[in-house]
Amino acid sequence: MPKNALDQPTPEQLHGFITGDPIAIDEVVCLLLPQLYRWAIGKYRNLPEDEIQSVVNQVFAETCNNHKRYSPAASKLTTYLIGLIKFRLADLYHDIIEKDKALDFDPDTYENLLQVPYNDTSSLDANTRLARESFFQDASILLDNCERDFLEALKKGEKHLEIFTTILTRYDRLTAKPSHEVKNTKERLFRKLKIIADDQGYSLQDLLNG
Amino acid sequence: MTNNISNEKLIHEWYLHVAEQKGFIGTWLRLLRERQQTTPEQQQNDFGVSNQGFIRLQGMPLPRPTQFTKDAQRIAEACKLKNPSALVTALLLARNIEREGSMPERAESASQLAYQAAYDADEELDKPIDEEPSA
Repeated sequence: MPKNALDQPTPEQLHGFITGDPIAIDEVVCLLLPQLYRWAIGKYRNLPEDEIQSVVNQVFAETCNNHKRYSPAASKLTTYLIGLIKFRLADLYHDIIEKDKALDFDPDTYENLLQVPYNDTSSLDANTRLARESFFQDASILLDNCERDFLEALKKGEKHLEIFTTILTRYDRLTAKPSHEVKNTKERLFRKLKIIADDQGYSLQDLLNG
Repeated sequence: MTNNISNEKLIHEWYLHVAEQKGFIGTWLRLLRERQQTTPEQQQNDFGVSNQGFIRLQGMPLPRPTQFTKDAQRIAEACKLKNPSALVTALLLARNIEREGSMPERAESASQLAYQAAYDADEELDKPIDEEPSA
């Protein structure tokens, strides 16, 4: 969505916003937040949607609390907010890249490891089996439903894009580029699994490898 | 538009997000609950507001200091509270609690002064007062 196609607040709403009127602030947020969220989702397709939503919410919250910093004479409120969102999303992108590097993050490796028959635990020692059970229990609590279904499909060795797009459809998360969304969801899943494994003091690779 | 999340859901999630943020009513209501040992359900009943209205209420910005009561009243109306005065009273109380909490140094220094006044270590006080020379 081009910036100039965004619906703008009325002059009265803007006046209320900059003077800290809570009702005007609420009206402006209700008008602009969905539009800017959709703008950001469309513009930054490589970033996880839930993290974009969190950034957009945070920028709006800070702008509401510091409403005096915005000057209508200098720019439109949408331009001002977009500038802040862009900065934060650039930081987010940088953080994700750095985190992936630090975690030696390689989704493809993890996907292949998951597809080693998981149920074949006969060769594992008792400690590893317990660690795995505890790890997947924690994972089932911390992952959302969509990610949980992805994990189950991956554990079964599923490789077909259609299966994963069906899961996305079930949770209303299918976008215009299903393969892109499948990849994003897998990456997010493995990132979360990596963090859970790290919290438990294990290497994800070891847990999946047995 | 590729994303299917509705505007209502985005705004609902926004209210949930900011209810825990400084500058929004949710944090003040939580402060009040902690002080009064009440639950969110009791608070919601006191205000006479629906579940959705209560979520929205907690995500509303705080009233302006310069027109606190008027803004609180307007917020109550916007969130369709059956008992708007309960919100006004609650926010006034929460403001007082918040002020106490935001001035711990001043409160500490006041109590320290009171302590020192009660137990003044001035040794001179223990000595008998010299009689004034008689004229």
